[in-house]
Amino acid sequence: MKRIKSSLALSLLALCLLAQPVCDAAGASADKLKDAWREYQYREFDTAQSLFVEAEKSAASKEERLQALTGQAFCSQFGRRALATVSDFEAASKIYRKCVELSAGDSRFEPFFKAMLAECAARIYSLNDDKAKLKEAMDIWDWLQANCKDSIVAQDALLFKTALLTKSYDDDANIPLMQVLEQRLSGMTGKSDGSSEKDSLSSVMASYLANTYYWRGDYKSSVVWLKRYIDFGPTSYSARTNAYFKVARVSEAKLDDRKTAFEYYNFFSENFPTDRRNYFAGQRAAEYGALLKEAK
Amino acid sequence: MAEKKGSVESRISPMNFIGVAILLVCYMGAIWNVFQVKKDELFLGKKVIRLCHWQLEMGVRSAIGEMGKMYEAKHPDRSVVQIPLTERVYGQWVTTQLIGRTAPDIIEIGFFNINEYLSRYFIPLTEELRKPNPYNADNKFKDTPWMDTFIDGLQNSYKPDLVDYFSVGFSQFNVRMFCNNYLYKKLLGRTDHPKTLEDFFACCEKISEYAKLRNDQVQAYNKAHPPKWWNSIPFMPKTEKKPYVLFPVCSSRYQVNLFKYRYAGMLTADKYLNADLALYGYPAPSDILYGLLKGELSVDDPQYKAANEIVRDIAKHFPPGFMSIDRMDAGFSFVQGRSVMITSGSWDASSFIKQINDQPFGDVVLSVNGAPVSNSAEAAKALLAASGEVKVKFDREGFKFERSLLPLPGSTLWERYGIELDDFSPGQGKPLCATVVDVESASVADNAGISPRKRFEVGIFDFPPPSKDNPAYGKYYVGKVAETSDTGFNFGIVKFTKNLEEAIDFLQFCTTPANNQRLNEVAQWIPAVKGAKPTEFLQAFVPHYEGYWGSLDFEGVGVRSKTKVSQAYWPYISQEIDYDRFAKNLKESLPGEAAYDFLEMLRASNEKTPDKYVMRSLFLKDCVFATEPKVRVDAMKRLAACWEIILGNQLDKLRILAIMKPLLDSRPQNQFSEAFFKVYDSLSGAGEAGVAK
Repeated sequence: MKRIKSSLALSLLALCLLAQPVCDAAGASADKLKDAWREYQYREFDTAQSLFVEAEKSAASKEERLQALTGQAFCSQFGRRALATVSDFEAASKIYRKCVELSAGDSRFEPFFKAMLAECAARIYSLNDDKAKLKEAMDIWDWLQANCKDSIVAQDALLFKTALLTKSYDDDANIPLMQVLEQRLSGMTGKSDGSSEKDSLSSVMASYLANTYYWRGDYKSSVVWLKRYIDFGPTSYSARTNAYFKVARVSEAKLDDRKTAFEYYNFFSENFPTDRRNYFAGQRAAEYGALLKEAK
Repeated sequence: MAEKKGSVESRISPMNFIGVAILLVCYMGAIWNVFQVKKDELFLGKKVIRLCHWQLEMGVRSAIGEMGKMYEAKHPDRSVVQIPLTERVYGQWVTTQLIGRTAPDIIEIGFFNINEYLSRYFIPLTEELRKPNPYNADNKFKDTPWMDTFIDGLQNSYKPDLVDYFSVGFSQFNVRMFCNNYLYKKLLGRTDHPKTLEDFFACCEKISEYAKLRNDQVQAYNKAHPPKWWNSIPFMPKTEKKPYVLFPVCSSRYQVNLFKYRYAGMLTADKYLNADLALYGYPAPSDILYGLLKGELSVDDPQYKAANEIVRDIAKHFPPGFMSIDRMDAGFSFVQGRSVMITSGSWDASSFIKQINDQPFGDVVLSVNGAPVSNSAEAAKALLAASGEVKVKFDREGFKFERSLLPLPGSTLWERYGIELDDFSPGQGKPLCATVVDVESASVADNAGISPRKRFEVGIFDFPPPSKDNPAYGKYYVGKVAETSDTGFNFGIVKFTKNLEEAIDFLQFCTTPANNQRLNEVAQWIPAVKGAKPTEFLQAFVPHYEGYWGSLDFEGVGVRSKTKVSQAYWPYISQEIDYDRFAKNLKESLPGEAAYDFLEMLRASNEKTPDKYVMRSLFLKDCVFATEPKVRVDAMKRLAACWEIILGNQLDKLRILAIMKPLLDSRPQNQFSEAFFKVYDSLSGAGEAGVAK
């Protein structure tokens, strides 16, 4: 057996001894981040902020550092909730800019930090009507749509933009916003289980369109988008029952569409037995079923 | 100096040490108490799961206790401690413990700001609820997600605002009428419970008539037999009869609300549905306000009036002063046989029944003048046939005693002895025996200390609806009210718990079909888990889904409107004012308060949103940084749910304005609208400051 040189043995030993604290540090920084996010979740923003600062200092990788910086920016951006001021958003923007630099060219992180920059700019615009900030946000949103429109970040940004710029239901300024959403959803079939990134926020967009059309008085389009919303998959049981009930009610009360009303009341009656509206739906389904039979 | 000190010491009496001794004993007692509480954790090294709740109804503590024992038998290294608290202090106690981070591991959800506390102090259970319950490994639910093993799929445990499930329910609840079947049969000569409101009122009238007749007799007797001077001497027999206390229905404000929502549903469910502008079936507060402003809804609405009048008519059969008693006292009156009926929930069923069964069985007549009697007919015959002093032997729940009774003139037992007899079996297959079921005050029997039967069989029936041909209410009857299957008795796990795994495990243990059935058997509640069957008695509480939901109520417009409606409602229900006065009071006060509530609606829809962005940021972070695909996919789903809430809140203001804009522009010409806009204009002119005022 060949003997290893004593200098090499010493080097290996030193490496092992050095590796241990490095591994420990990696574990410790990940734990710190975990703790920080837990405090953030429980709305203990001051504690979370200091933990994020510590986590940034002990970050074992670029990804951890970016996450720690994101946490700090989130504390400024969201922590003061309704009391947030321009300076809070500016503080967050400063951190996001740093993150954009750190993640330049990284398709996983760069769009996210840019989207957050746009969000802060848009918030500053809505607080002090700074048109330049709106322009800044719009440019970033356009960039997101052009470069990664199917990413969750771009979809999220699109929803943020839509919510921010919808000032009233009957405002014609909504039409372009609705067109963008309709265009995005036009090629999609729905029927996915929500695990595909491309259509993960499609149901929300369809819900927005259904509501907007409804309050604008376009009940036919509202029903179309409610049906698509059902296809994309409502996010909760109650949202699902509400959607079915609403399709039936709107078809009945606003469109005099007995066939659709029958179909959706019948589905409701058969599939949501413990819902309080079930008996009503069953009665209506029976009523419309008889009428449709007579008409035949 | 030393001499002086010595003399002082010699004057210290050993009695002075008694205080120290008492202090020491108390201290040792406290130490022992702490030891008893902490021994499992500190000395036996067990994991202690602490659970608190406010269910002091009979049976519930035993049920949780039994679950704890069963769990401890399965896991000897764990211990379950329940902390039952009265509902009067529950909210404050839990708040203090949560803030101090000393809260029990498992807390029953309620009596605090649920959404706020859940997000701050409780652990989301969504992940666990999506996995099968390991304790179901040997039954048909072995592959079923835990949440789907509940009758309602734990729908009401899901908090859409927080995009998570936070609690697990153990039971279901429902509301019914409880009836003292013995008095019901005795006074009304029938056993079937009322099926219609008219029949219910007729029963109430008959019961009131009977009580009046008894009291008239008491008054007549007392008038004819004024008390003598020696009657006031202690321990001397009393000759003055006490008033007879019996009411058709016992109630407190709590029970009035049960009647209110049930009958309002029966009579105004269609108005409620028609008021819904978004067409989901549940009108928003702004929809009710829209109806009021447009003149489509009003306090003068005949359906709304009829629904209120029914409750007022029912309240005529309540005891006087029902407004000032609490629900426990009302229940106690029923248990004591001072009313024939009461309304309450299935949560009170076991308490009522256990308390009723703890009441005296009633003295049993064994023999009359030495001749044994085996039933009430024989006893009555012997008692009526006897002349002069009669020696009667009684059995009082195993204790036998004899009394000499000197009957008064008369032809009935009631006239001669002041008693009524009936046949009852002491149970366990024993034969019927002559039991004293009623004793008149200051009668021969009363003065001899004879005790009547207080136990009775409880009947359960649903709220009787008005029949179609009821002249006052029939034409407004829409239909029955659909009941919910929501689970209650919900428990959540606090985020500071050191025993998270064990706490989840205990909740899973309590919610297998077999264990949930056992828990609810002991508590006498309705199980919440599929496959767990309620006891036969509780079958009457199983919810029925046929019917309508919701009712027209102007309280829903906002907090200030609710206060005004409440202020006008209680004097009306307690017969102090009539409907016209009630309506006038509301017409005067409601529009102004509704204007405040309207501005509050707009403000609240602005304020609700920012916290939802905090949640969104968390899910977005996971979408970007999570490395595990499962975590990422879950975060995407939650982000979608969160966005739905954000858009719902953020666009709520636009929805309210979309509804109200035509009315704000046109200002309809009606009394409500004019009074509303008078206040609205002054407030909106003052902006947010006006609202704050």
